Formats: sequence, structure tokens, C-alpha cells
Amino acid sequence: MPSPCLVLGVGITLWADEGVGPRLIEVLSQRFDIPGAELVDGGTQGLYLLPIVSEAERLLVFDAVRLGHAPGTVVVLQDGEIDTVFRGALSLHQTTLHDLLGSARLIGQNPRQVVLIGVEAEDTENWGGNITITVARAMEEALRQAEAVLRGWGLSLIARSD
Amino acid sequence: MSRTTPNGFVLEETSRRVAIDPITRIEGHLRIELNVDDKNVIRNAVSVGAMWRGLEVILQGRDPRDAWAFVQRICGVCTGVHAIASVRSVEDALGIELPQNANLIRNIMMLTLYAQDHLVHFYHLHALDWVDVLSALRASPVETAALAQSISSWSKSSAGYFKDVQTKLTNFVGSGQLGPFRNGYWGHAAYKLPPEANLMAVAHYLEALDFQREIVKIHAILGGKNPHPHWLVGGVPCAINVHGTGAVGALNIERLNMVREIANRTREFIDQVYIPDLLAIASFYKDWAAIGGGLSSKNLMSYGEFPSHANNSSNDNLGMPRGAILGGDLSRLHEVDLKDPAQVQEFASHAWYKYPSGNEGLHPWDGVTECDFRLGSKGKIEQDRLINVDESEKYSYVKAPRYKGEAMEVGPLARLVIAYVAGRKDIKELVDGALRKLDVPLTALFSTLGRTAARGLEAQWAAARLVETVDDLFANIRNGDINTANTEKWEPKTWPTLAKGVGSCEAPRGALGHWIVIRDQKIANYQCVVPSTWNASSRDPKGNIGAYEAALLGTPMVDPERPLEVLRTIHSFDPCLACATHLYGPDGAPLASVDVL
Repeated sequence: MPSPCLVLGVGITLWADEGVGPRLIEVLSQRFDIPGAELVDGGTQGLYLLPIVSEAERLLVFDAVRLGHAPGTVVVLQDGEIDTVFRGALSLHQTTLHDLLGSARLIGQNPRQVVLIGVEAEDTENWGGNITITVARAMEEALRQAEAVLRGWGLSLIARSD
Repeated sequence: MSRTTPNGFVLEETSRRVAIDPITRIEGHLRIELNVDDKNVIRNAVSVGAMWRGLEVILQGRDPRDAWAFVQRICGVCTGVHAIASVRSVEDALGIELPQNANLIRNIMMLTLYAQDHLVHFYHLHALDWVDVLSALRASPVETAALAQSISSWSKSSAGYFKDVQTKLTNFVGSGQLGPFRNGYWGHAAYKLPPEANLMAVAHYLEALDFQREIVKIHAILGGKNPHPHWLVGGVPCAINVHGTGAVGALNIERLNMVREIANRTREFIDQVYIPDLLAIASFYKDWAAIGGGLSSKNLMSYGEFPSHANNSSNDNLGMPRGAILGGDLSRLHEVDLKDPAQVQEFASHAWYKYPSGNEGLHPWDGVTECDFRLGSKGKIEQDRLINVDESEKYSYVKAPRYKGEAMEVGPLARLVIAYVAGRKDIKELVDGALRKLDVPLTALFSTLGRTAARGLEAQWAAARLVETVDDLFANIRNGDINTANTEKWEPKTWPTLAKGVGSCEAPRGALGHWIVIRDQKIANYQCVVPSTWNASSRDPKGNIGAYEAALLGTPMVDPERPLEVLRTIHSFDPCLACATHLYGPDGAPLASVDVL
């Protein structure tokens, strides 16, 4: 029995590429049954995601990033790398993933392993707009990376027939 | 050179300009620019909402029954309140009556949110303005235990417990990953708590972090899921089944008991941890009962909330009454009518929007959201970086909402004072009790400390009311009423060609209104006036300043480069610059800065 695993998509679905995290959750859950994993659209709930994050042994996060890569680039960051990359940076949101994980660590209930799959955003200004074609194309790569991470954690991804 | 605004505040544009961008530990993006005199006292304050919120544009042409699902994505902490204002606006437009169970369940959702949101705000967004985390490392656990036991009967108060917390904190700080404690002004001279009070507060910061996880289970039980609980026009999407057979996932006695149990524990936590901490911390900062008052001693407004009975909008039916106070006259409550075109209006003279009517105010039903970014002639941008805005022209994405032409403060302080003035006994007892314990007069409420205290007292009120409301729901179900939704007017063909409605809600952080116009079964116009639009308001054509700007005036600062005092007052409003983006910047690119110009 694999340990509890949370796959979390964060971002705002009303705002073009900012919504790629929740969109990836949507596609992943349509494609696969993943026993032992919980798939959650976390929206922009920040600290309010602590209840589910602190209960997870392993955490996979999908999010839009702006790290200076070409739009559509998929980055996979593990544990300490997440802190290193985001140290000093402050998202416009008061509780970033950094704060969320820091808070979980502070109460001694942090996931043992954390992987962030980030997709470099192209357009984050278009209110009400769809994900750009560039980022939509990158979603397949992000999903492939997610599959590899989840299988590596001993989870089975069972293709849905419907 | 100084001038007095029509609403009675003196502004001096002295030589030193300080920009704080962004204000940390809030939702959304807020920039504050200040002018300080040679004694570091704030003489002019400019509140700049630096993000455009174009939600209204997205909703046009959509099905009004779906609007709640869009608006609850506006922001990370206000999900439920936008959803409730939205479904209420559609119900008002179409004349849909609400079953009593749905009314009670919505009240339970909202009271739960008050308890949780106020708790999280106090400990996780605001306490660090008063509590020096690093000083807690020097505390004596034995003396901390003595302090904790002297103010509360809460069980976790032994010296061993505080020693453990201190060790945990030492290890955490030692790891170099400060997480939520980074960006703090630790060691700042404005921190006044002894190390033991700091350690006690940090211990409760951790307990509250753990405990808030419990409270939201109520949202998951009644809203189907959390995050993003479900809502429904005409009711709540939550069937009641007390017989144990039939609908799967329906609300049954076992789940209702769970709600009751969580409600009781929430009340206990607030009574025994939050309130004693609040009073203990406040007793060291009584000077802040004379700082940061701003508009609060003049103009306050509440739309009213918590209807006891469904479909009754009279003030007597509301747990928190509706009304407005103008010019500091506490002997008179003014009526608030959100449909009166002359009462609530929004102005865009100093905001980055374009109105066809120019500088005139628009009632939200006639509201327009058209972006118009122009920096102003004295505004400066250098290398893509905003240096300063020009507040004599357009300077913010926050419009200027006005009630009968006046800038208003909204939020827990406004609600409590209005309930107090309306003669509500439960509120009067709560407020008078706290004032007695702190030995301060009623006017002390009109301050930064008063705002923070009012929020705590309201959390206490909400938790007590939550327990009662769960009992009311039990009683109503026991009387045989299991109806939770009215679907009579669900089908668009039952709707008129043109319908207009208003849905209001008192969000934890203040008065929230959604105005909707439905034409041919689709949304033709949708305008949200959110609490932080009132409080973070830009200036209006007459030059009246809003609540944040007013509250900062006259504040003495120790060091403008470490603007802890500004954070105290701004955080006391529980700001939420309703938008929320989640993008990360690359390593080392500081998006936060304090510039002294």
C-alpha cells in the first residue's frame, strides 16, 4: 500500500496560463485512476491548503512559473531545489508554496517528498482568456513527467476506459 | 505646504517619499507610498492597488446560475463570500425564495468562515506585526507557563510544553529556511512584548495553524468539498437525509453531529486561546489605541448579515445589523439601500479606468469596467520599475466607492460599532467587557488596536452563534423540514427578459456587494464592490481620501526603511486585494522592496 500521496494543481483558472495547474489536474483525473493518490484543484487557496498538504506523505504540485525560460518549458524541481529557486522571491500571493511548505514543516507535518512540475507561462495578463497554445502544448510533457514521478513513487496509473 | 481634504484630513506633501511594494502577508498586490516629515511622522499616504481585476468583463454573456463558480475564484480567502453574494444577487433579480434550511446552512458556512478567517488573520497574517518571533527564543519556559496559566485555563500551558515549542522553533530558525517567518522586521524597536509573551504567542500561532484545519471540515461537510465548496442559486447543494437510507452523501445526523462537535471546539479555541492572547498582547500596545483611527471615528458602514429567518430583509432579522454612521454621530444610524442609485456610487477620477461619464459617480448597476492606465504627469517609471505615482491624477486600480458621496470604512469594527449603536445587547456586552478589561474608553475602538480587537470579539461572537445555528438547523430538521433548495425558477424560460438584482454579504473583511443585470437569460452587466475597494479606495473627484490613506496619517515611524508601523495599520484592516496570481519570480529577483526616495 503506497503512502498517502497528494497531487495538487494551483493557480487561477480565470487568468490564461495562470490556470495551467488546475487544468493539469483535470486532464490527469480524466485519464487515470490512481489508487492511493488524491488529485486536488487547489486554486489560489494558499495557507488553506495546509490541511491536505500536511496529511500527505508525498506531494506533487503543478503550477505556472516564471523563471526566465522559453514559454512552455516544463521544469521539474525536487524538495530542496524548490526552496533554492524560490528563496528571496515573493509571489503576489501572500502564501506561496514556500510558505505553505514552511508552515507544514513548522508544525512538523510536512510531506516527506515534494516535487514541483512547473510550466513556464506565456500570457498571464489575459483576464478570462484561455491557456495559450504554447502552454497547452506543454501540458503533455508536464503530464509525462508527472506519470514518471508517480510511477517512481510506486503508484499505478490505471487508464480510464470511458 | 499642507491642505485639508473635504473629509477633514490634513495632507502635507513633504520632501521624503517612501514606497512599500508590496505590502506583505496579504492577498493580492498593494503598494503604499508615503510622505514622511523630518521626525518620520506620516503626513501623506497613497494606497495603490497595483493589479487589475477584470472579473466583471469575464462574466458578461454567461449563465447567471454559473456566476458563483467564477467569482469564487477571484481570490484565495474570500471564496465563499463571493459565491454567496453572487447567488443572492441572482435570487434577488429573479425573485427566488430560499428554504429555511438553506438559509441556516449558509449562515453556518459564513459563521464558520468568520471564525476561521479571523483566527488565521490574527495569528498568521497580523500577529507577527506585534510578536517578535526571534525574541521568543530567549524566553524562560517556566515564566511563559506562569503567564499562560494566569490568563487562560487552556490545557497546553506547562513549562515542558513551551520548552518543546521553543526547541522546535530554535531548530526551525537554525535550518535557515524561515518559511512564513522570513521578511520579518525582527528586533525592531517597535516590538514591545517580553520574550515570554512572544513565546506564548508563537506557540499559539502553531496551535492555530493546526486547529484551523479542523474548522474547515464544516465547509467540506456542508459544501460537498473543500477547497471550493459548491453553491446553488435557490438553496444549498446539500440534500438532507435523516433516515440512513437513500441519497448517498446526503447530510445525515452523524455528519450534523460532526459539525456540532467542530463548532464547539472552535468556540473553545477562540474563547480560551485567541481572546486571552488578544487581550494580553493589546495590554502591551495601548499606545496603538490612539494611532491609526483614520475614517473609523467618522464614517462606518455595514450591509448586515446573518438573517435568522429566510426571505426577511428587515434589520431586526439580521444577526449583524445594516446601517451607516456618518460624521462620527453615534446617535444616528443611516439606512443603507443598495438599490438606491444615489447611495452607493463608484468614482474613477483617480483610478485606472475610463468612464463615459467622466468624473461622475456610477451606481454599480450602471457600472463600467474599462481599463485606462495612465501614470499621471508627476508619476515616474524607470527601467520598468514604478518609482512613484502621482495621486493628483489616476494612481490605482482600486476605484473610489462612496456612500452618499462619503468615503466609508467597512469591516469588523464597522459591524460591531453599528450593532452597538443599534442597541444589540449581545454585542454591547462583548464590547463593553473587553473595554473594561483593557481599561480603555469606547473611543479607543477607533484605532489600529481597536480594529484588531473588534475582529477578535467578532470571532468570539461568531463561534457562539455558530453553535446556536447548528442547533437551529437540528431543530428545523426535527420539525420535519428537509427541503434545501427551491427549483421553481431554475429554468431560464421562467425568467423575465430583463431582471436586476443585488446580492450583499458581510465578508469577514467587510461589506461586499454584487450587482447583476440579466437580459435574455444571460448576464448583461455584473459589478462587484468588494470590502477592500472601500478601505483601499483611491481619492474621489472632491479629494476625499479613503480608509487606508486616512488611517496612516500621523503615524510615527521608528525607521521608514523598516515600516513595521505601516504593516500594523494596513494589516488591521485584513486587506484582500481580491485577485491572486501564483507566479514565482526567478532566484534573487526581489519583488519586495522599500524605497526611500
